[in-house]
Amino acid sequence: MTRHNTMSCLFRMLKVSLMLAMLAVMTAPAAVIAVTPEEMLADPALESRARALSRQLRCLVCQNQSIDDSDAELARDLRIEVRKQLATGASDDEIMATLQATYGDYVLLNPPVSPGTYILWGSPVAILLAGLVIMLAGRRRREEGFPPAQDEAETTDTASDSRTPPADRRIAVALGSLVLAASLGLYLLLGRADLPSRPLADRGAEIAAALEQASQTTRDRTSRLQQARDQTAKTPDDVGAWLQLAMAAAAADDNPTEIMALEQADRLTNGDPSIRALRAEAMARAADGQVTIPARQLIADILAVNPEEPRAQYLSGLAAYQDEDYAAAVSIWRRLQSLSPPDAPWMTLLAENIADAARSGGMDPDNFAAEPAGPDADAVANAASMSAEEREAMIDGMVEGLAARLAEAPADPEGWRRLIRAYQVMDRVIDTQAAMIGLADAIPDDISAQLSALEHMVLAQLEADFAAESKRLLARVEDLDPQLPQGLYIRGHFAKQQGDSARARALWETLYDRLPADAPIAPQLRQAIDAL
Amino acid sequence: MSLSGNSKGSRPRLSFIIPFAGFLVLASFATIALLATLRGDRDISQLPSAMVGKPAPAMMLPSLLNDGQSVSASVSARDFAGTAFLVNVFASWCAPCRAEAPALALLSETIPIFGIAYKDRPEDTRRFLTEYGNPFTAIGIDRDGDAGMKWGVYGVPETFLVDADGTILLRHAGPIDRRVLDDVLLPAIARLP
Repeated sequence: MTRHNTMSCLFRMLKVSLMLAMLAVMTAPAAVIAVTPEEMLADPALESRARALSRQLRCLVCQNQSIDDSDAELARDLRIEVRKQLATGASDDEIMATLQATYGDYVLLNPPVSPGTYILWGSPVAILLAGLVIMLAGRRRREEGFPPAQDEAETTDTASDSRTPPADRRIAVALGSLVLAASLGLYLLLGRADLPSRPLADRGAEIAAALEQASQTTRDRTSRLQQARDQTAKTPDDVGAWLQLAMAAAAADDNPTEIMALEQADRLTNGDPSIRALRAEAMARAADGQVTIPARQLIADILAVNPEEPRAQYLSGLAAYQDEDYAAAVSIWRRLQSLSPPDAPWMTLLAENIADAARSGGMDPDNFAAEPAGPDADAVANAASMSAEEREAMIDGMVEGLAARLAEAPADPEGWRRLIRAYQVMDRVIDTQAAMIGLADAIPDDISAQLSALEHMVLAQLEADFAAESKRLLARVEDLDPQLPQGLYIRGHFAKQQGDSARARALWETLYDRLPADAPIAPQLRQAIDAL
Repeated sequence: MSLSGNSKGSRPRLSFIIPFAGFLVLASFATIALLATLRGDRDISQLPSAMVGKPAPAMMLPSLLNDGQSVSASVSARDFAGTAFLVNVFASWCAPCRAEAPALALLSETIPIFGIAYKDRPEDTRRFLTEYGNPFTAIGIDRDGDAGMKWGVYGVPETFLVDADGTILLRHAGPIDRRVLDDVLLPAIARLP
């Protein structure tokens, strides 16, 4: 494995000079901390061999760092592996060989001389030799082929040639400088010679500080959230306190608290449009960015009071976009664009969204202003001129529209989820059940969708109304995971409903056997089995 | 210049045209490679694997049974001796592993798959399998990544094709997408004797 040839010597010399340059660059005194304490070997001689080996091994994830420099998980594994092998008494060469056998030449930061790298190692020598040959040949030709007499004769021929070099030479110099300039430019563009080597061991303090800062940020957020919560408890009528709480909750990613706080603020201000818009936005964020039907209802209310509320306009465009009504989305967002000050913070995002919607809708991005707005968008934009009943009718219309669309194209789980949420808010139990079955049918491989539809059926006592559907869903639950506890319970329940006590008993007994003895529902289940 | 001077002048010209042409050839190769990388046609993160052509590591791993519940006995690549099989190194914490679940489900219909649950807690692996399906014939639990290191794994997911003699034929690092499935794995499986 050892390679003692001129090239690696040259390479080593280059590295030494580089190291010296780096030493000059690194001003901070290097703290001597172990790579990480649990990795370090007790024997200092072995440990220093481990560090030396680590510097020659490439981190395959980061690719341009040695494993000594990298804090990637794989680099850590490799450092531990190197130390494990050192501890068993393996030599440096053996360790490098085993790692090279598993990870390939690429794991070595110094590429080995092998048929695959002959060109890499040989080309500098070849180019140097070629240059020498050409130079020597050129000189000999000048000495032999151009006797001084003829040379003088030529110079006397054209006086200007004696002062300026021949055209050939000038072209050569020009091309040479061009190549040099181009490579220098490319290197400055892509290369980073200014980055020093940064062994992980020397960065212990830096990493600890970053981790400390991250956990400090989390602690700060939690304490700010708590403070804001205390404040709202003290002054429950202060809108500002609720808004503070909402902001703190948003920073801490606590959606339910954020929505609750905004609801309070909304209530205290009697539906201030901008607060209500914040609420709608928080609701959409809680639903993974989906503008839910309750959020849409809120948006319609806001636009009724203030048709120019930017956040509500943005969300209503987003709702249209999510309904794949791209023309409407573009027209709503274009309107928002025209109403917003040119330096509004959302302008960039808005322009990107408009372009995206235009592309998705197959519209000409420069010409879409002429596209007519969809009925949904018009409805939302015109909600201002509606009475409360009319608005309610409009929301109903939106829900019915969604339901009709899903009936036609049922392979849209996200659509079903939205419809389920809408029906839940509207307290339409039977419709909720039907939509849950629609979702379960749209994703037949998702056992939890099947189970939630069945559970809802049991809780709402709708088993008799959806007998055929329940049979279909139960069969899927059984196929997907015959042993799942919830599945066993539900299947037992439906068997009992159909009067098949024997089957119900068998299923529940299986479930009972699988329950830990101290499971809280075990006694109840026993009772239910005995009652069969 | 006179005609006689022309023949003399052409010789020094040649002496710099040859190295310059050589340089141009080298530079165009470099430019093509650079452009391909920048455009994304050439993936520099796909490293050549040293394991192709070598025998599959036969490390014994605790087995996660296919009922998805209990941990028992041990399993190793040697259990598959006599048939060609795929090895898929995966983890519940790895997002691309979710993306390749459908591809693995499809592959599991044509070839047995040995799953290595890399640096994963068995309970998390189980949850992952309930959620995204279980395409595996057997699953070995590689709690601290030792088996991964034997296979030369540098990031999950990775997939290996091993022939009936236990020799590694192919390695793919990264998720199996449509293109990898159609252009790499399925043709390689079809070429098996």
